[in-house]
Amino acid sequence: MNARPAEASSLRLVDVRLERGSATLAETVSFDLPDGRYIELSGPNGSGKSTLLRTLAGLQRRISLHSSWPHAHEVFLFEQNPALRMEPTAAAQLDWALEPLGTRLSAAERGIALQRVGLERAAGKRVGQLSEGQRRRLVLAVMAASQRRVWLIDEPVNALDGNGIRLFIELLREHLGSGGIAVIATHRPLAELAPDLATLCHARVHLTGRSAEVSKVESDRLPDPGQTGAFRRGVCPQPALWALRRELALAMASPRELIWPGVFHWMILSLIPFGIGTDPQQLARIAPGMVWVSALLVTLLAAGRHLEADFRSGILSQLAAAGFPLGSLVAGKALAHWLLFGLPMAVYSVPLALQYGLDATGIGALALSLAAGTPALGAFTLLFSALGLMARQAQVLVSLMSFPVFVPVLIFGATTVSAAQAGQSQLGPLLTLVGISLLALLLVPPAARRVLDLAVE
Amino acid sequence: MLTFLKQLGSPPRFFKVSGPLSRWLAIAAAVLGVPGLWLALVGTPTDAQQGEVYRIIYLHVPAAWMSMLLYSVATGYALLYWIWRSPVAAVMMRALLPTGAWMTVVALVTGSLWGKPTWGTYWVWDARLTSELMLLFIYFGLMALSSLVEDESKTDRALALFTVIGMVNIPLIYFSVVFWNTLHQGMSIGAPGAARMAPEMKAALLICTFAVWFACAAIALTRGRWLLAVREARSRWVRDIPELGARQPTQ
Repeated sequence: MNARPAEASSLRLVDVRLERGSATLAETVSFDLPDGRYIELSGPNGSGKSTLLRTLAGLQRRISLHSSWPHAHEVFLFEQNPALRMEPTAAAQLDWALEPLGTRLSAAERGIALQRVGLERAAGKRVGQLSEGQRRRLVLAVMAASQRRVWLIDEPVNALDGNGIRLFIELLREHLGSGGIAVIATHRPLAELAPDLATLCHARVHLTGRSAEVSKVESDRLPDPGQTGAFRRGVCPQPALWALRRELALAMASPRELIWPGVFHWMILSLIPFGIGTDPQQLARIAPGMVWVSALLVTLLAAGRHLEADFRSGILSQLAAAGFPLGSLVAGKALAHWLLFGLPMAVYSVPLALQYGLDATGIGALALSLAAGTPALGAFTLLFSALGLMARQAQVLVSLMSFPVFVPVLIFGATTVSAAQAGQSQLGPLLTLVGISLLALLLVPPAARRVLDLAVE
Repeated sequence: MLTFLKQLGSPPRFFKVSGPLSRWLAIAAAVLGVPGLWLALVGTPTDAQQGEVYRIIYLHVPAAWMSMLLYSVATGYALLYWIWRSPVAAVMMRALLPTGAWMTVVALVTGSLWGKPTWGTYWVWDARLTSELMLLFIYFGLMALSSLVEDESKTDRALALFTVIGMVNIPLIYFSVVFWNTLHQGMSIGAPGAARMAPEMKAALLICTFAVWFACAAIALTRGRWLLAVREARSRWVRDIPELGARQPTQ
């Protein structure tokens, strides 16, 4: 980026409506913001500070921003939720958070970034073991390393100690000094914390819950922004692959949890003979259907949580604000679901089917049909769990919506096995299953993206 | 015509028009329903093969049609909502779902009551029955969606999306008796070579169908009307509704 004159307005917001749900919090908000300056948002609780930040982040899709507003690939949204997962180590989490923003750090750079925020000793600790303040420092490290020009920050100094606050001020000053811009919602004016920041404040926006009052700060000693920093439009090169790798890494962080669906599957299947008797012929006859029904139930059991951790932690809204394609996220998660859940299910159903006295052909067909059909199950439950993010009772909603779409998978899954048992060709139903799965993997991500857009709004 | 429709998209206008409209529809349903019922129970001849029990089709067939038609109309409103974001389309989409679900229940229950003496069983896993049951589950899913989600405008948009997706099932039900060779009898009306029905039976069936149709329209319209009033409770036109008297919303 080339240097701009001090007063050149690089960012302009014109007549944006501020809405939360169906309530209008301000009819119109307008301001401009030159490079190297920040805007401070103030106002009582519920007046719409966070909402304005989320609107500026492009999360409220109904509200279109002016064309001169920066592209999502230049934006970093720092919310009160730290947008971190608890499973990985601090160092790994730094990488996972930066990669979707299009930034990769070398080991040395990572060390420096962590040292900068005083986390060099905590690099190997899991995020879940860090204190609240340390987590916020980690987000500061992500933000600073993201090389994004526009920072949208919600209550930056919450949970930070004195050193942490000084650190934030320092990072902000550097960001502005290299020509970056920031919009900051805060209860405490930043100038109280660091008087020299006052000269960098371009305007204050006071929200009352009914309107937005913009007061420009008159300062005639505006320092020159100086040399502009190395800001980039960060684009994640392979978003679906990133999502897949992250999902696998998160699962590997606690691999023991992967066996529980299998155990549950075993329990359901062991319960059935208690109910219907142990006649071997009858059991062999119902085995394909029972294994499939049990697979569906186990899928549903885990379905509510596909997206929940990423949603509650604020990762989804941060990704959406940063211009990360959420459809690719869903595609990656669906593939991960197949690798971590579907394929193992196909494998451990083999000994379970033995308990039902299924013959070798039947077992082979069963494993094949599960391997071919589970991608569709994963994709569908992801779609509905995206919907569940907005619901009071996600599990109920996910189950109610899932059952009708599970029916064709169940039919063709069980048909594959019974065809094999009857000595007929199992290719027809098996290929149909593959077709359903491919179609689901193709169609679910764009639909789920729409739903996720709604959820993070 | 288009301007008239657009005017209907404005909530106060819709509220004003839908009141008398639903009243007239209810009256029409009663006017057709009474002779329709008489024809169905008394005025039509007994079926040569099935005896008196066939008379349940005068309720079963209209209900089954309505279960599919109402879903299609809800899908139409979902698309309208997508295009115009009109709150009227949103409430009508929501209002049609419970009525559609009831019609599906009626179709399933009457069908199984009729199935016992004629097929010898209350239920068979026949393609049409099964897909009608799936329709009921889809109705349940969408109704859960419309009540479980907190934010109303988000619900509307999600509901519109999933209503359109669920529409896939409707042609499957409708043509299931054609695609699959099933126990459920084929189409008796409108299908070529299927004119096996006595003309007075056909007339009675049509009258009953229109009666059920008008009744459903009246119910859905009334529900949609008040959903709209509740949703817009804070706007001025709702406070001026005479039926609510001079009561002010408590906010």
